[in-house]
Amino acid sequence: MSNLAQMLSAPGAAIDADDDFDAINALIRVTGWVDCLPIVPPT
Amino acid sequence: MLDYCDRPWDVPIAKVAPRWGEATPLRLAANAVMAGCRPEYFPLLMLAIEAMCEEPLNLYGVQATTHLCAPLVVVNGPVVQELNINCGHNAFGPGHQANATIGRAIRLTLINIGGAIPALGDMSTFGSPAKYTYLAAENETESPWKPLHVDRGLQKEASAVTVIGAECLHNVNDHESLSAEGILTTIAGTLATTGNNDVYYAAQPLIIMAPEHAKTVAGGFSKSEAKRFLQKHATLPMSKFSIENIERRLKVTYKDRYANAEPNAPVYAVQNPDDIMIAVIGGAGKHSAVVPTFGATKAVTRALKTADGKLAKSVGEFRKG
Repeated sequence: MSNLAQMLSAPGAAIDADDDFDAINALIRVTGWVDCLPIVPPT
Repeated sequence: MLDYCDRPWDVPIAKVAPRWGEATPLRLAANAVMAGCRPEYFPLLMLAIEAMCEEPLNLYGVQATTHLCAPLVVVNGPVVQELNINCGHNAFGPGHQANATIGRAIRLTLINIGGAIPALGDMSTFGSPAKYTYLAAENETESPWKPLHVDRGLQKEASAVTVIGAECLHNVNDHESLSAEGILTTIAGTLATTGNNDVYYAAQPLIIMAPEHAKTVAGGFSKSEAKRFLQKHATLPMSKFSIENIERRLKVTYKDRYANAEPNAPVYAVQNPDDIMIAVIGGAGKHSAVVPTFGATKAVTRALKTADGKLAKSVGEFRKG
């Protein structure tokens, strides 16, 4: 697989979030995935 | 971010302990974006992750231990200037995007791919500020010696990372000594402490000298001689250790040396001079720093190479199109 769209459509490869910086940061803190500093949302 | 990746995006470059998550370029890129990396930093992030996942570093131990270690990345070579990685004043502090964000991307990778979630995969008793970001470059232009990556077997022209499972740096203030022996005596004193993991293992601590100390030491000693001096003088009398530590640690780990030793027999902080690494980092000021390690870990140094195995002269070689 070398197509980014295909990769991101694979199960578990991506999460959907509102297109909102604060909402994405709140979501990602809840998951425990980060160091709890604000992140730049990867798209 | 992936514009600076010359590997397949979905093929893992490493498995990250303790979860053994697969570090694919795509996943690394997501962490690099989250950390605030510029795209041109990506080849160095990939190299650092590859290096720290090699067996000698014992990333499983470094990640999961109750100790407060974190992988320290020391960068050498042309990439330092190209990416503006700080090697001078405040090299381990704030102020430079490359240091801050590549180090942070490493930490996010260790959490998100490696599973180093506090109190789950990362059982550190205290944690450490080094678990946010821990990356600096060697100040090669101010160093009187060969750089660290050359000491560790690479060509001077290479861009490289050396990864060390390390504590935060411990400062060594010596504004008074004017000789190599004087400065090294002070550093040796900081190196030899009870409760330091390096005393219990055949460890490889890093000695960081700021340029002023390095120049004074180099006025008297080669780097090899400085290492021999440090190994010889970084000792504590055995009586400084608790009876239980002597019986259950020192006499077990180093049976031949301490089984019948006198109470004041020297306990060495480092077992072999060649185990000491020296790098010149920092700005003006008569300071050095000792970087103790997790102990059960060996440093890993790797050169930046393109997918075809050739030394990369520039991160631009990774750019597509």
